[in-house]
Amino acid sequence: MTENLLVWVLLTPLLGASAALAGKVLKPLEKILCVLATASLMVPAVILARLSGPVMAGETLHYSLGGWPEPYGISLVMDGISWISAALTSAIALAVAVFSLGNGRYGSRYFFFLLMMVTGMYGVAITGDLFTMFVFFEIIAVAVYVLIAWEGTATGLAASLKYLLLSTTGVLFFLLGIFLIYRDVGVLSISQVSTALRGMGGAANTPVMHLALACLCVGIGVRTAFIPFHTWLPEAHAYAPHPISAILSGAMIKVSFFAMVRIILQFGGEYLFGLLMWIGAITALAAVVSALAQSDVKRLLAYHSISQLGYILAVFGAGSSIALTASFFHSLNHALFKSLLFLTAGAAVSYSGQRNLYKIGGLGRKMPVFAAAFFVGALSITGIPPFNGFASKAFITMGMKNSPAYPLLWITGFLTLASFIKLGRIFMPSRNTEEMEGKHRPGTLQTITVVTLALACTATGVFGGPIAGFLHEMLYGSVLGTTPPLYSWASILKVIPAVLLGTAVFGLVTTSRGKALSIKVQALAPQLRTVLVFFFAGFLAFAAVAW
Amino acid sequence: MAWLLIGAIFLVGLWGVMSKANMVKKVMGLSIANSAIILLFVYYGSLSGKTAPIERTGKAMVDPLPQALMLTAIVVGVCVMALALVLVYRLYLKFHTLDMGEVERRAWELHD
Amino acid sequence: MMKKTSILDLISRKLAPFMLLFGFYLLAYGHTSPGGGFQGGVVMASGVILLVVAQGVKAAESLFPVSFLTKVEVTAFLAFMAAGLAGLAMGHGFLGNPMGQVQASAVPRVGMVLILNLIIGIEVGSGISLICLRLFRNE
Repeated sequence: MTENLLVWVLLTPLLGASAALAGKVLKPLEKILCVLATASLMVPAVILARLSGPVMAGETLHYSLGGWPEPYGISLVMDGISWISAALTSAIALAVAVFSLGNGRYGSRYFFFLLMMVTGMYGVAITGDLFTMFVFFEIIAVAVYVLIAWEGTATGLAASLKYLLLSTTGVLFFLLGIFLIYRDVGVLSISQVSTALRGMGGAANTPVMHLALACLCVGIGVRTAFIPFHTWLPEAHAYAPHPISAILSGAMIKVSFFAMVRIILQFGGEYLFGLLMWIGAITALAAVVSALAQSDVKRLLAYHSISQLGYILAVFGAGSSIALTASFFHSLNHALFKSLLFLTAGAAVSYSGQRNLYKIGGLGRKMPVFAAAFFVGALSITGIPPFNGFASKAFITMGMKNSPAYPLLWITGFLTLASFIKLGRIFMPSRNTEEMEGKHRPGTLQTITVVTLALACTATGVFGGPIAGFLHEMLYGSVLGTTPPLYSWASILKVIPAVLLGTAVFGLVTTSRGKALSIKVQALAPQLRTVLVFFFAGFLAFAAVAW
Repeated sequence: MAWLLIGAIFLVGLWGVMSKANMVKKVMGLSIANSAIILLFVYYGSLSGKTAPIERTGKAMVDPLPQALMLTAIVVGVCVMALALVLVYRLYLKFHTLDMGEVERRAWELHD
Repeated sequence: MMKKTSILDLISRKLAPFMLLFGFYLLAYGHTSPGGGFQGGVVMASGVILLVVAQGVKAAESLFPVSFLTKVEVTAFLAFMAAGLAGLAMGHGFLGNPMGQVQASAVPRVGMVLILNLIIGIEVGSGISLICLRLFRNE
């Protein structure tokens, strides 16, 4: 019986999407159908709660669609990684859908695309087959291209086209990887390929499989946006509507990352760990330097998404079990605080009608709840106790204790603090506060969503140890070993030098020389043509790493 | 021989996406590269048999799995190309130019 | 600006119904000969697109109004979900064959593929015609 529940995880958002689509034709019922669509997102959360018991005990659940056996049919698999992936999607999707309902400007077609995107994300999380993973990735992609360009502004359209060109090129490489695997192994289901590869001694032993794994990683890498495939992310997340930026930054890049984790771990790709660690560290540092130089609110947050994803990737590359747990824990926390930041900063942008952060100010008095929630998110991302960023960064430090890439991450830490002081000024009283008239005041549902996310950030921070233990059990079926306590005086005192350095850097950036340097760094963002050259460079790096 | 041809088509498509400035040509390049991948799968599947993968014909049939996979891939490709062309069309209506570099430059300056 | 010749006018009007019929043939025989839902749907849509391109949007829209095509597309999507759920209700899993108890060679069992082909064909045909009609309408 529990195995049959798996298909309902995929089916309920699809039914919700059908309800939303029916609202397009049955105009009088439109509002009710949108609410129904949002409510259908609660069902997967309940199912996942029910399934958490068996998964934590270590068993892997299987389900084949239509009763067809494994090589012919679509099969769904739920193990620890899928559970965490699906749970993260549920949380963020529900928050974003409720926020969009509260906005009141989004009709049934928007909810159709949002729910199709969520279906695609669940599909990537629980699929057991490589080709089905491709199909679900493309379902997410088509929904996302439409949603980024939803408001029809020129920037949204251009961002969507850039993402489309880059992402489709990546998917072509993914298909090439699938071809190479099919050619040698003959089947495409992940478990069967994994057994075949382990029989051959892992993907590094055969050059063709090695190339296949490189192609697959490049294909997913475009979706996950690490360097050198990240250039679509700043514009796409900055110029999308605010709830869409939240779910893109919060859930979509993580879901693709988890898919890559599953592929690398099951196909014996441990030789890639060194490369991934360095790519992660360089991504984190380069993105946060670009973020510090931005003057647009949402672009700054988007560059921070790239940088935090660099953290996640770097600690994944460290390889040990506590490192993997830290990586998943930071993904969860990042999903929570980044969607919180995008929703609150987006509400600030809608309220004041301005995107340039030097021109907004003093919104703290007009939107006090949102300002408080924003500060919870900002303190989380910079790693101040007792919020969740501190907990997961402590775990990252534990996981990466002896690795040479760690200093880069430490520098990233206080640069993050500097840029969030810069961003936080929009909520504090400032000199050039004109009277900001409220263009779109946030509604009740939006306030409730934002407060819930802020409370979740605090809760995952305070209970960081137990939650990391839960994740470790989910992933490995065994309890986490001894870890140093999170909230000892030593760890809290370690935060203080980062805070001091961050404030110093912020002071430097706001001088006039700092601002001139910022404009030069902003202009470095590459155009589409050079980006594709980076693409090939990245592919060659992946392919050549075992030689 | 056929592999070389397919590889050449793929590279032509990717070259088109990379180096042509016209947005419509970029989309066309992507479509060409997509076709190359589809040909790759179908050609590989056709190597192992003689006739179409339908039951009740006498001879050995070609491998049906790549053909089924590629049907899905063609559908996805058509969908994405249609969306890409709609985006190109709407960008053209806003900026009256089809040059990608210029569209990007003017779009980011707008700060919408 | 080139003048539209009478050849285009005449041939498109005579050819389009045959394209629709051929598309329907591909749909209906999809389980025994090359063809199927998507292929038949696309050929049907190309019949409509031929009319749009050769005769102009107004003439094509008098035959295939956009509002009607939208309703057809939405209904086909909901019908596909219903077909999948019918399989689930009969205990064979989502998209399973609801008539699984019947003998393998009897016609109603193969009918599941035929029904799915029809639904997909209508969905794809109306969807792609809609894309083309809307794009041409904006000019």
